[in-house]
Amino acid sequence: MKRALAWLAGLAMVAAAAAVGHLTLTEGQQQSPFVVQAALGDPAVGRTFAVTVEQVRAADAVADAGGWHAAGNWVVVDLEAQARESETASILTLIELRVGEVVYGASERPVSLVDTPLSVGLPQSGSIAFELPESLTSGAATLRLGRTAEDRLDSVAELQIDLAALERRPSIELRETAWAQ
Amino acid sequence: MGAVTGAGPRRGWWSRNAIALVALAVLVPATVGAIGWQEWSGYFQGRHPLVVPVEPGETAELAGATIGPAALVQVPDPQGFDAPAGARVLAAQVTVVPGEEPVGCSRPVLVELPTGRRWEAEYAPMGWRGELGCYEATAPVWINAPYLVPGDAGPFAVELELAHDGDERLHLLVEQP
Repeated sequence: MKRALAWLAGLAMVAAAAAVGHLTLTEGQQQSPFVVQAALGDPAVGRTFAVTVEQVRAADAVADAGGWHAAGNWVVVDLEAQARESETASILTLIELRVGEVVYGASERPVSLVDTPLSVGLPQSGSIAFELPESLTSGAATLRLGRTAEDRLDSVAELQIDLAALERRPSIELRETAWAQ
Repeated sequence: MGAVTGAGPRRGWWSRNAIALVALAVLVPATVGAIGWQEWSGYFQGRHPLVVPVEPGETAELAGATIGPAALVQVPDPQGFDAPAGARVLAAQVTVVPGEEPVGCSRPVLVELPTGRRWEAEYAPMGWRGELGCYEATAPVWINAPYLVPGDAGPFAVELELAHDGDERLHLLVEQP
């Protein structure tokens, strides 16, 4: 009887240890960003910034206000953005489009909202553009916007995009970065 | 009756453990001290500078320099600034008088007192009077730093920090424009 009890207690402890091992969050989960789900036209408010994605379109060519233009498979995001707390290092450094495991950074070729310091309480309007491979015109993508490329334990605004459902234009001119009206 | 062992009287517990007790008396405070120093030194090195408030119209001494009085004014003719509708252009004006050593100071930051929101100085247009900060100054400097703020923001304090003196930063309280 005593022996059976000892076995039972031992097995219970092994099971408890296995459960603790499974239930404990991994380091990645413990440090994952605080995702703010964005919706078209609604402000997504993070800890240090707020963005409103106004429209997302696809184009076979883009141009900027300075006359630069290029053909390609582009996804253009028009948005408003502002800082919430401080203007120190207030650029949206994390601007990426995730398609499955592949991450596309915003193009630095056109003049856009990329690298624009955000102002506290004064929203700016502009565009960002992603240049994708020619064949990538369908599938689910996630637009991710954040204050720092190191997104652990900080806010990241995410917008789900269906690439196939995007309105496609022959050409789009990016918004000139300016104060939002 | 217990058996009597040894010839002399039995030594007490305290005297039998004297060496261990002395070691404990040394090691326990040493351990507390070492761990405490390790933790607190990290705290003191990594903490934010102490914020020292300065009343409106007053001056403050910091690292030998005299700072203040400070004022915050609305820029009457903000045409040189690309300000959005509804925004205000304010200017923080602070006098910095160096002591015996040359003085360097950061650009002042405008801090909204109720929320802690912080605005950095804008680039000033051509013809703007005054400095945005000071660098190795040996003569008095008149800082006149412009800011773009939303129309409904405020009240503000002007925050100034000296180079080489990261322990304290001044919150210069001002009359609101």
